[in-house]
Amino acid sequence: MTDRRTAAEVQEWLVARIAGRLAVPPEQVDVDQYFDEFALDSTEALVLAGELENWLGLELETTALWYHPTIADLSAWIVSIQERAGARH
Amino acid sequence: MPATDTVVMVHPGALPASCYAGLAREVDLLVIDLEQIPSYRAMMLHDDSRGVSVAGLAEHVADRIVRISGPWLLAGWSLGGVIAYAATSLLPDHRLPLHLVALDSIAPVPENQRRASDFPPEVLVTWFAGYLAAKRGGRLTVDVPGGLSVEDALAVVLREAIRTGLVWPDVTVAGMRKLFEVYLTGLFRNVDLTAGYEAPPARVPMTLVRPAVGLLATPGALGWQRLAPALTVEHCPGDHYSMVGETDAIAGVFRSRLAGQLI
Repeated sequence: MTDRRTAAEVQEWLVARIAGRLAVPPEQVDVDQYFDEFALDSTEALVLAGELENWLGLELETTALWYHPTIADLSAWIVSIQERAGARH
Repeated sequence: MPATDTVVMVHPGALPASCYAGLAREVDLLVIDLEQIPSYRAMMLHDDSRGVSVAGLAEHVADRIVRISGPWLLAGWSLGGVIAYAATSLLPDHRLPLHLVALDSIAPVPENQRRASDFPPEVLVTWFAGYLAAKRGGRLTVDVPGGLSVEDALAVVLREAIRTGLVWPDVTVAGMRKLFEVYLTGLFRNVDLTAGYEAPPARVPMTLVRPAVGLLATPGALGWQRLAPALTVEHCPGDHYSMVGETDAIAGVFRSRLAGQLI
Protein backbone atom coordinates (compact mmCIF):
# COMPACT_ATOMS: atom_id res chain seq x y z
CA MET A 1 0.00 0.00 0.00
CA THR A 2 1.52 3.35 -1.00
CA ASP A 3 0.74 6.85 0.19
CA ARG A 4 -2.04 8.54 -1.71
CA ARG A 5 -0.99 11.66 -3.57
CA THR A 6 -3.11 14.74 -3.96
CA ALA A 7 -3.81 16.25 -7.36
CA ALA A 8 -1.55 19.17 -6.39
CA GLU A 9 1.33 16.83 -5.56
CA VAL A 10 0.96 14.93 -8.82
CA GLN A 11 0.78 18.19 -10.75
CA GLU A 12 3.88 19.47 -8.99
CA TRP A 13 5.78 16.27 -9.81
CA LEU A 14 4.76 16.37 -13.47
CA VAL A 15 5.49 20.09 -13.81
CA ALA A 16 8.96 19.65 -12.28
CA ARG A 17 9.72 16.70 -14.55
CA ILE A 18 8.56 18.40 -17.73
CA ALA A 19 10.16 21.73 -16.82
CA GLY A 20 13.45 19.94 -16.27
CA ARG A 21 13.27 18.22 -19.61
CA LEU A 22 12.26 21.34 -21.47
CA ALA A 23 14.86 23.36 -19.55
CA VAL A 24 12.30 26.01 -18.58
CA PRO A 25 11.20 27.33 -15.16
CA PRO A 26 8.28 25.33 -13.66
CA GLU A 27 6.02 28.38 -13.79
CA GLN A 28 6.25 28.28 -17.58
CA VAL A 29 4.68 24.82 -17.73
CA ASP A 30 0.95 25.17 -18.37
CA VAL A 31 -0.93 22.34 -16.63
CA ASP A 32 -3.75 22.64 -19.17
CA GLN A 33 -1.48 22.28 -22.18
CA TYR A 34 -1.57 18.99 -24.10
CA PHE A 35 1.43 16.72 -23.52
CA ASP A 36 2.14 16.55 -27.25
CA GLU A 37 2.35 20.35 -27.32
CA PHE A 38 5.32 20.02 -24.96
CA ALA A 39 6.98 18.16 -27.85
CA LEU A 40 6.78 14.89 -25.93
CA ASP A 41 6.79 12.08 -28.44
CA SER A 42 5.33 8.63 -27.71
CA THR A 43 8.66 7.31 -26.43
CA GLU A 44 9.11 10.20 -24.04
CA ALA A 45 5.51 9.95 -22.88
CA LEU A 46 5.98 6.27 -22.00
CA VAL A 47 9.23 7.01 -20.17
CA LEU A 48 7.43 9.70 -18.19
CA ALA A 49 4.56 7.29 -17.44
CA GLY A 50 7.06 4.72 -16.14
CA GLU A 51 8.71 7.24 -13.87
CA LEU A 52 5.34 8.43 -12.64
CA GLU A 53 4.35 4.82 -11.89
CA ASN A 54 7.52 4.37 -9.92
CA TRP A 55 6.88 7.51 -7.89
CA LEU A 56 3.22 6.68 -7.29
CA GLY A 57 3.82 2.99 -6.62
CA LEU A 58 0.97 1.96 -8.90
CA GLU A 59 0.72 0.78 -12.46
CA LEU A 60 -0.76 3.07 -15.08
CA GLU A 61 -2.34 1.95 -18.32
CA THR A 62 -0.08 2.65 -21.28
CA THR A 63 -2.81 4.87 -22.70
CA ALA A 64 -3.04 7.05 -19.57
CA LEU A 65 -1.34 10.05 -21.17
CA TRP A 66 -3.40 9.52 -24.31
CA TYR A 67 -6.77 9.63 -22.58
CA HIS A 68 -5.72 12.21 -19.99
CA PRO A 69 -3.65 14.48 -22.18
CA THR A 70 -2.86 17.37 -19.83
CA ILE A 71 -1.07 17.58 -16.49
CA ALA A 72 -4.27 18.77 -14.80
CA ASP A 73 -6.41 16.04 -16.35
CA LEU A 74 -3.89 13.27 -15.64
CA SER A 75 -3.41 14.41 -12.05
CA ALA A 76 -7.15 14.41 -11.37
CA TRP A 77 -7.50 10.96 -12.93
CA ILE A 78 -4.63 9.58 -10.84
CA VAL A 79 -6.29 10.84 -7.67
CA SER A 80 -9.53 9.13 -8.72
CA ILE A 81 -7.84 5.77 -9.37
CA GLN A 82 -5.98 6.02 -6.05
CA GLU A 83 -9.34 6.57 -4.36
CA ARG A 84 -10.88 3.59 -6.15
CA ALA A 85 -7.89 1.43 -5.26
CA GLY A 86 -8.11 2.61 -1.65
CA ALA A 87 -11.83 1.87 -1.48
CA ARG A 88 -11.17 -1.74 -2.46
CA HIS A 89 -8.79 -2.27 0.48
CA MET B 1 -1.36 5.14 -58.81
CA PRO B 2 2.16 4.91 -60.36
CA ALA B 3 2.23 2.91 -63.57
CA THR B 4 5.65 1.31 -63.57
CA ASP B 5 8.31 -0.21 -61.37
CA THR B 6 6.59 0.52 -58.13
CA VAL B 7 7.75 -0.95 -54.85
CA VAL B 8 4.92 -1.40 -52.37
CA MET B 9 6.15 -1.56 -48.78
CA VAL B 10 3.92 -2.95 -46.05
CA HIS B 11 4.77 -1.20 -42.79
CA PRO B 12 3.69 -2.71 -39.46
CA GLY B 13 4.27 0.32 -37.24
CA ALA B 14 6.72 0.29 -34.30
CA LEU B 15 8.80 2.83 -36.25
CA PRO B 16 7.28 5.83 -38.04
CA ALA B 17 6.56 5.27 -41.73
CA SER B 18 9.01 8.10 -42.42
CA CYS B 19 11.79 5.57 -41.76
CA TYR B 20 11.56 4.73 -45.47
CA ALA B 21 12.39 8.29 -46.56
CA GLY B 22 15.81 7.23 -47.82
CA LEU B 23 14.36 4.34 -49.82
CA ALA B 24 11.68 6.61 -51.27
CA ARG B 25 14.44 8.74 -52.79
CA GLU B 26 15.88 5.69 -54.54
CA VAL B 27 12.80 3.84 -55.79
CA ASP B 28 9.17 4.61 -56.57
CA LEU B 29 7.86 3.62 -53.17
CA LEU B 30 4.29 3.27 -51.98
CA VAL B 31 4.12 2.64 -48.22
CA ILE B 32 1.02 0.92 -46.83
CA ASP B 33 1.06 1.79 -43.14
CA LEU B 34 -0.96 -0.78 -41.20
CA GLU B 35 -1.29 1.70 -38.33
CA GLN B 36 -3.75 3.60 -40.51
CA ILE B 37 -6.20 0.68 -40.12
CA PRO B 38 -8.37 1.57 -37.09
CA SER B 39 -8.51 -1.97 -35.64
CA TYR B 40 -4.74 -2.40 -35.98
CA ARG B 41 -4.13 1.03 -34.47
CA ALA B 42 -6.42 0.10 -31.58
CA MET B 43 -4.49 -3.13 -31.10
CA MET B 44 -1.21 -1.20 -30.89
CA LEU B 45 -2.70 1.26 -28.43
CA HIS B 46 -4.71 -1.01 -26.15
CA ASP B 47 -3.03 -4.36 -26.68
CA ASP B 48 -6.39 -5.70 -27.77
CA SER B 49 -6.06 -7.85 -30.86
CA ARG B 50 -9.74 -8.74 -31.15
CA GLY B 51 -10.85 -8.34 -34.76
CA VAL B 52 -7.28 -8.20 -36.05
CA SER B 53 -5.87 -11.06 -38.10
CA VAL B 54 -3.17 -11.64 -40.68
CA ALA B 55 -5.89 -12.46 -43.23
CA GLY B 56 -7.80 -9.26 -42.46
CA LEU B 57 -4.70 -7.10 -42.72
CA ALA B 58 -3.75 -8.87 -45.95
CA GLU B 59 -7.16 -8.03 -47.39
CA HIS B 60 -6.56 -4.38 -46.63
CA VAL B 61 -3.20 -4.53 -48.41
CA ALA B 62 -4.65 -6.43 -51.38
CA ASP B 63 -7.39 -3.81 -51.75
CA ARG B 64 -4.75 -1.09 -51.89
CA ILE B 65 -2.52 -2.78 -54.45
CA VAL B 66 -5.00 -4.37 -56.80
CA ARG B 67 -5.07 -1.21 -58.92
CA ILE B 68 -1.34 -1.11 -59.59
CA SER B 69 -0.38 -1.66 -63.19
CA GLY B 70 2.98 -2.39 -64.73
CA PRO B 71 5.80 -4.36 -63.14
CA TRP B 72 5.88 -3.98 -59.39
CA LEU B 73 7.46 -5.46 -56.36
CA LEU B 74 5.93 -6.17 -52.97
CA ALA B 75 7.98 -5.79 -49.81
CA GLY B 76 7.45 -5.73 -46.08
CA TRP B 77 9.56 -5.17 -43.02
CA SER B 78 9.15 -7.44 -39.97
CA LEU B 79 5.45 -8.36 -39.56
CA GLY B 80 4.87 -6.33 -42.73
CA GLY B 81 6.63 -9.08 -44.69
CA VAL B 82 4.21 -11.68 -43.35
CA ILE B 83 1.21 -9.50 -44.21
CA ALA B 84 2.66 -8.86 -47.68
CA TYR B 85 3.11 -12.61 -48.15
CA ALA B 86 -0.48 -13.24 -47.10
CA ALA B 87 -1.69 -10.53 -49.51
CA THR B 88 -0.17 -12.37 -52.47
CA SER B 89 -2.55 -15.27 -51.80
CA LEU B 90 -5.48 -12.91 -52.38
CA LEU B 91 -4.39 -11.37 -55.68
CA PRO B 92 -5.44 -12.67 -59.09
CA ASP B 93 -2.60 -14.18 -61.14
CA HIS B 94 -2.33 -11.22 -63.50
CA ARG B 95 -1.98 -8.81 -60.58
CA LEU B 96 0.80 -10.59 -58.74
CA PRO B 97 4.08 -8.73 -58.06
CA LEU B 98 7.27 -9.76 -59.82
CA HIS B 99 8.82 -10.62 -56.49
CA LEU B 100 8.26 -10.46 -52.76
CA VAL B 101 11.03 -9.04 -50.55
CA ALA B 102 10.77 -9.61 -46.80
CA LEU B 103 13.02 -7.55 -44.53
CA ASP B 104 13.93 -9.68 -41.50
CA SER B 105 10.40 -11.09 -41.39
CA ILE B 106 10.02 -14.32 -39.46
CA ALA B 107 8.08 -16.92 -41.40
CA PRO B 108 4.63 -17.79 -40.01
CA VAL B 109 5.45 -21.43 -39.36
CA PRO B 110 4.83 -23.31 -36.10
CA GLU B 111 8.49 -23.60 -35.07
CA ASN B 112 8.75 -19.81 -34.99
CA GLN B 113 6.07 -19.40 -32.34
CA ARG B 114 8.15 -18.09 -29.44
CA ARG B 115 7.41 -16.31 -26.22
CA ALA B 116 9.40 -13.64 -24.42
CA SER B 117 10.30 -16.22 -21.77
CA ASP B 118 12.16 -18.21 -24.46
CA PHE B 119 14.83 -15.50 -24.55
CA PRO B 120 17.29 -14.35 -21.86
CA PRO B 121 17.24 -10.69 -20.72
CA GLU B 122 20.39 -9.78 -22.66
CA VAL B 123 18.75 -10.81 -25.94
CA LEU B 124 15.46 -9.01 -25.28
CA VAL B 125 17.22 -5.89 -24.04
CA THR B 126 19.59 -5.88 -27.02
CA TRP B 127 16.55 -5.96 -29.35
CA PHE B 128 15.09 -3.12 -27.33
CA ALA B 129 18.28 -1.09 -27.68
CA GLY B 130 18.01 -1.36 -31.47
CA TYR B 131 14.37 -0.32 -31.32
CA LEU B 132 15.13 2.63 -29.04
CA ALA B 133 17.92 3.86 -31.29
CA ALA B 134 15.79 3.63 -34.44
CA LYS B 135 12.84 5.24 -32.71
CA ARG B 136 15.02 8.15 -31.55
CA GLY B 137 16.72 8.47 -34.92
CA GLY B 138 20.18 7.49 -33.75
CA ARG B 139 22.54 4.60 -33.30
CA LEU B 140 23.20 2.66 -30.15
CA THR B 141 25.95 0.11 -29.99
CA VAL B 142 25.66 -1.65 -26.70
CA ASP B 143 27.01 -4.96 -25.48
CA VAL B 144 24.60 -6.28 -22.87
CA PRO B 145 26.41 -8.92 -20.79
CA GLY B 146 24.71 -12.22 -20.10
CA GLY B 147 23.53 -13.12 -16.62
CA LEU B 148 22.10 -9.70 -15.77
CA SER B 149 18.56 -9.10 -14.57
CA VAL B 150 16.27 -7.16 -16.91
CA GLU B 151 16.64 -4.15 -14.62
CA ASP B 152 20.45 -4.25 -14.75
CA ALA B 153 20.48 -4.92 -18.50
CA LEU B 154 18.20 -1.91 -19.03
CA ALA B 155 20.57 0.17 -16.90
CA VAL B 156 23.40 -0.72 -19.31
CA VAL B 157 21.29 0.44 -22.27
CA LEU B 158 20.16 3.56 -20.44
CA ARG B 159 23.71 4.64 -19.62
CA GLU B 160 24.69 4.39 -23.27
CA ALA B 161 21.47 6.05 -24.46
CA ILE B 162 22.14 9.01 -22.16
CA ARG B 163 25.79 9.16 -23.17
CA THR B 164 24.87 9.32 -26.85
CA GLY B 165 22.07 11.83 -26.28
CA LEU B 166 19.27 9.49 -27.37
CA VAL B 167 17.31 10.17 -24.19
CA TRP B 168 17.25 12.96 -21.63
CA PRO B 169 20.07 12.76 -19.08
CA ASP B 170 17.66 12.42 -16.14
CA VAL B 171 15.73 9.43 -17.51
CA THR B 172 15.62 6.62 -14.98
CA VAL B 173 15.51 2.85 -15.28
CA ALA B 174 11.84 2.99 -14.20
CA GLY B 175 11.02 5.05 -17.29
CA MET B 176 13.10 2.80 -19.49
CA ARG B 177 11.38 -0.27 -18.04
CA LYS B 178 7.92 1.00 -19.03
CA LEU B 179 9.09 1.60 -22.57
CA PHE B 180 10.71 -1.85 -22.64
CA GLU B 181 7.55 -3.57 -21.39
CA VAL B 182 5.35 -1.87 -23.97
CA TYR B 183 7.89 -2.72 -26.68
CA LEU B 184 8.00 -6.37 -25.67
CA THR B 185 4.21 -6.65 -25.44
CA GLY B 186 3.89 -5.30 -28.97
CA LEU B 187 6.59 -7.53 -30.36
CA PHE B 188 5.16 -10.76 -28.99
CA ARG B 189 1.59 -9.71 -29.74
CA ASN B 190 2.69 -9.62 -33.39
CA VAL B 191 4.18 -13.10 -33.00
CA ASP B 192 0.85 -14.30 -31.57
CA LEU B 193 -1.00 -12.66 -34.44
CA THR B 194 0.81 -14.87 -36.95
CA ALA B 195 0.05 -18.01 -34.90
CA GLY B 196 -3.51 -18.14 -36.19
CA TYR B 197 -2.45 -17.83 -39.81
CA GLU B 198 -1.98 -20.94 -41.92
CA ALA B 199 0.34 -19.85 -44.67
CA PRO B 200 -0.21 -21.41 -48.08
CA PRO B 201 2.77 -22.06 -50.41
CA ALA B 202 4.34 -18.98 -52.00
CA ARG B 203 2.90 -17.78 -55.31
CA VAL B 204 5.80 -15.52 -56.28
CA PRO B 205 9.60 -15.72 -56.05
CA MET B 206 10.80 -14.41 -52.74
CA THR B 207 13.86 -12.80 -51.19
CA LEU B 208 14.54 -12.57 -47.48
CA VAL B 209 16.93 -9.79 -46.46
CA ARG B 210 18.61 -10.46 -43.14
CA PRO B 211 20.49 -7.76 -41.25
CA ALA B 212 23.86 -8.39 -39.61
CA VAL B 213 22.08 -8.55 -36.25
CA GLY B 214 18.54 -9.81 -36.70
CA LEU B 215 15.99 -10.69 -34.07
CA LEU B 216 16.76 -14.39 -34.46
CA ALA B 217 20.33 -15.58 -34.72
CA THR B 218 19.33 -18.86 -36.37
CA PRO B 219 21.09 -19.39 -39.69
CA GLY B 220 19.21 -19.79 -42.96
CA ALA B 221 15.90 -18.37 -44.02
CA LEU B 222 13.90 -17.93 -40.78
CA GLY B 223 11.48 -20.68 -41.85
CA TRP B 224 10.58 -19.19 -45.25
CA GLN B 225 12.24 -22.12 -47.04
CA ARG B 226 9.26 -24.23 -45.98
CA LEU B 227 6.87 -21.94 -47.84
CA ALA B 228 8.89 -20.58 -50.73
CA PRO B 229 11.03 -23.00 -52.73
CA ALA B 230 12.15 -20.12 -55.00
CA LEU B 231 13.79 -18.26 -52.15
CA THR B 232 16.96 -16.20 -52.01
CA VAL B 233 18.55 -14.85 -48.84
CA GLU B 234 20.47 -11.57 -48.96
CA HIS B 235 22.29 -9.75 -46.19
CA CYS B 236 22.58 -6.10 -45.24
CA PRO B 237 24.25 -4.11 -42.45
CA GLY B 238 22.47 -3.06 -39.30
CA ASP B 239 20.00 -4.67 -36.94
CA HIS B 240 16.31 -5.49 -37.21
CA TYR B 241 15.40 -1.83 -36.83
CA SER B 242 18.25 0.11 -38.39
CA MET B 243 18.15 -2.06 -41.53
CA VAL B 244 15.28 0.01 -42.94
CA GLY B 245 17.75 2.90 -43.13
CA GLU B 246 20.30 0.82 -45.07
CA THR B 247 19.11 2.44 -48.25
CA ASP B 248 21.87 1.37 -50.64
CA ALA B 249 21.62 -2.30 -49.75
CA ILE B 250 17.82 -2.50 -49.70
CA ALA B 251 17.29 -0.37 -52.79
CA GLY B 252 19.88 -2.53 -54.55
CA VAL B 253 17.85 -5.66 -53.80
CA PHE B 254 14.65 -3.96 -54.98
CA ARG B 255 16.20 -2.82 -58.26
CA SER B 256 17.72 -6.20 -59.04
CA ARG B 257 14.42 -8.00 -58.36
CA LEU B 258 12.51 -5.52 -60.49
CA ALA B 259 15.02 -6.18 -63.25
CA GLY B 260 14.46 -9.91 -62.78
CA GLN B 261 17.98 -10.49 -61.55
CA LEU B 262 19.46 -12.09 -58.53
CA ILE B 263 22.47 -10.30 -57.06
